[in-house]
Amino acid sequence: MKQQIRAIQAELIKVKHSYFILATFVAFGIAPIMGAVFTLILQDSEALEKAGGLAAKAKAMDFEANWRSYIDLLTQAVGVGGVLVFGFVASWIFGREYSDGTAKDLLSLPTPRTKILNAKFLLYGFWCVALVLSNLLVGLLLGTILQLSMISTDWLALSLTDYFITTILTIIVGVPIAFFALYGKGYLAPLGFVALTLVFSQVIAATGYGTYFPWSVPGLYSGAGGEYKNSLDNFSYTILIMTCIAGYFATTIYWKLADQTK
Amino acid sequence: MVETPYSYPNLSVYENLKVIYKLRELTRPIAIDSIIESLKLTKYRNTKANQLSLGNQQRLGLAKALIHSPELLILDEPINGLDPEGIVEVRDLLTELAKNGSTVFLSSHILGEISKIANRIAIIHEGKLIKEITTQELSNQIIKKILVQTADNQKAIQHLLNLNYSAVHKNSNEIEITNIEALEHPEHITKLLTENGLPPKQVYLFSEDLEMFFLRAIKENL
Repeated sequence: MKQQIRAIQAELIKVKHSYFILATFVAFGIAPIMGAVFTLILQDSEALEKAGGLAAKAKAMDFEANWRSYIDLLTQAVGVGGVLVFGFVASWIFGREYSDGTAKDLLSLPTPRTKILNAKFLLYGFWCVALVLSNLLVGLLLGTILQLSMISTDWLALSLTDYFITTILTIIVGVPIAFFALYGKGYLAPLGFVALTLVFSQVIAATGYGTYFPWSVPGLYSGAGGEYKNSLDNFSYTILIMTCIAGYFATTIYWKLADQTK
Repeated sequence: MVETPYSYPNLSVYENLKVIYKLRELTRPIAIDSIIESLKLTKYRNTKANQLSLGNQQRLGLAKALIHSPELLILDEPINGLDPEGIVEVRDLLTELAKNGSTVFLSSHILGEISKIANRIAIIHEGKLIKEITTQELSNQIIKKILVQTADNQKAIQHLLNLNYSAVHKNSNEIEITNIEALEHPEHITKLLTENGLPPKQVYLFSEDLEMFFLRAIKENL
């Protein structure tokens, strides 16, 4: 356990002064701002007429100027945008050792490689949770400023539960990215994988088979796919969890056994 | 340590060492500042790695490798990019480590540097170990000779041969003498030639360096 704690402390030092952290928060923070813009437009009939495209988009998303709509929008941003942003986070955490040329330093240490990878996975989890909490806080702040109409506490609790379950599903589905970062020795392979999964998750979800494609599940659960959310079953979640477990073991086994000279 | 050591560019020298300190499970925080001081990095303690010169990056790489006072250290080109002062510091540091019982494997193409610090030398050519000798054995195996130039080399050679010295004329207008007695006492050659009216214009004790020995060793191995 002591080794694990020290490995986590090392990972926390490594992210110090990194501009990438700020970049992810800014990129992910677009969602609450977008929700605020929609609300502003819907609240102002004059603006509603002028911003035809945005108003149409808000309408297409069944967006209303209330807390429930706003939190649902944030949830959908986690389920769809999160696959991309969390994917970037995982790519950076696992790929940077090769990009910075420091991977060799991690191979001959008393701290086992698996513990170093576990620390990275934990950092990935913390980072993603921090991102969704940040969005929620920004959303709460903007929603309060915009005086969004209150909904019942039951609805609020339900929306927030969906928000955090979507977060967990999105974090889980990002685990295999680590393998591609180590296998591809850098950022390119994991980012390519993220882009591919994002495209496939949209295409497959559109064809109606998204319930069995792990990278579509968070988006569907978030409500981005409308009524498709109801088609998610235990099998969908089992596939998602199996993908995560396979990704974790592929990453740790690969890093322990790979020929590191190549 | 590999030829070009890399560090986390966004972290300072101290933070980079702190990462290694954590992962090496060290328990004396003073170890970080000690190694920073040993490698003359105190001035750059809070400088980010991406702002360091190549020499200082090399020092940081060495600091990461030495922070735990290892018993076995494998270094690849540790003086790459270092200034003359840095080379001497690293040499002293490695000598100190060896004195304290550590074993240092050092691979380098700067053979002059190797000959200054190694006490066992291995020559690897095309992936094969072709020679492994101690510095004492090296000293016995390297070619040593006396090169002499006089006003009349032919006459000088004849005179030296008469005195049982193995003297031969070289194309470079020099006399080459390889007797052990002559190598141990080159002043005797000077004296003999001077007494016979052939004062040397030049007497030079040639000793093969490690680079020449390396080239000879790989040529002999072909």
